[in-house]
Amino acid sequence: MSKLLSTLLTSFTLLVATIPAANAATAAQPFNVTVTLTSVCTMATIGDLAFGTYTAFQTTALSATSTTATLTCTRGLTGVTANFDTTASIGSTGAAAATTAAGAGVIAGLNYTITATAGTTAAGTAASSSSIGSADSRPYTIAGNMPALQAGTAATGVQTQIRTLTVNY
Amino acid sequence: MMHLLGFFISKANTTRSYVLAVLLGLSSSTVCAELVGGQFNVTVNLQSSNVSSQIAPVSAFCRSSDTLGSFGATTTVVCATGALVDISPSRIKKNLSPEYGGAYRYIFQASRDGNILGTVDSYVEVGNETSWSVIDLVDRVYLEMLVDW
Repeated sequence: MSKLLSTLLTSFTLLVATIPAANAATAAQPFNVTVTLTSVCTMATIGDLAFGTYTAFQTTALSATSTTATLTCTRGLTGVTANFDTTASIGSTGAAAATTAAGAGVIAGLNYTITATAGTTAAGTAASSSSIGSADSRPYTIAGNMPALQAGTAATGVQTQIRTLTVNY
Repeated sequence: MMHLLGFFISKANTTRSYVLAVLLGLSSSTVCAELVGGQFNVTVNLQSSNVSSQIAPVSAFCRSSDTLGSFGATTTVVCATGALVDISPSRIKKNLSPEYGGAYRYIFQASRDGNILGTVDSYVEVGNETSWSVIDLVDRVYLEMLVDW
């Protein structure tokens, strides 16, 4: 009998000892997550702006097969402008407009003009707690025109000139 | 007292200077544009042969044709009048075109059976003569040259 009482007493003691743990209080403090985002645009490789064959003194202007410069940018970026390099220009190279750049150049003794026109921006998807999202895609269509009745400077084969499209953001 | 007042003014100016510097710093960071550039090639193939056939100009006394002529000639220039002025290679080169006339015309007599039928003009240009043919027609004989330069 005394053994039974002893067992009950021990069990009660253990039960009482566990009660305070079940009544634990909580404490919380908010904290800030901070970051400074530096917006960036990257530009993919641009294909050739190919005029094809120009026959000296041809009576019609020659348009180049247009090419596209695609920018991958931070979402929601505003104030993006573009312009061409000036190293290969003749006369005045057009300054960058809001969305369209204009330039000029000479290749094989042939005057030409080029434009870069901003296309419709494909908005990226927003990030979520389970996704990093995606970037905005900004296409620029580069077109070229070569006026008619030009003599050119004798050259053999396809002539190539390197130009640069610079985008400011 | 005056000195003390001056100190306070100087202190206030210094504080304003700090505020201004901070504002300038903030504003400069917002206008600092980033750049990204990409290079691309502009290409063209200039074809400069058969210039005269592409121009096909018209003058009062000469005419040119870029249609396929006798014996395969691709360009024919025929002038109705004119006189030999100079055909020396030292002359300034001009395109083989009737619009330049004058100093670049060469005349030879067209005849048949000993009878002078008139003159047939053609232009002489510094270049490479690739072929020539004597054209014998009913009422005249003339020389047709295919010239490449």
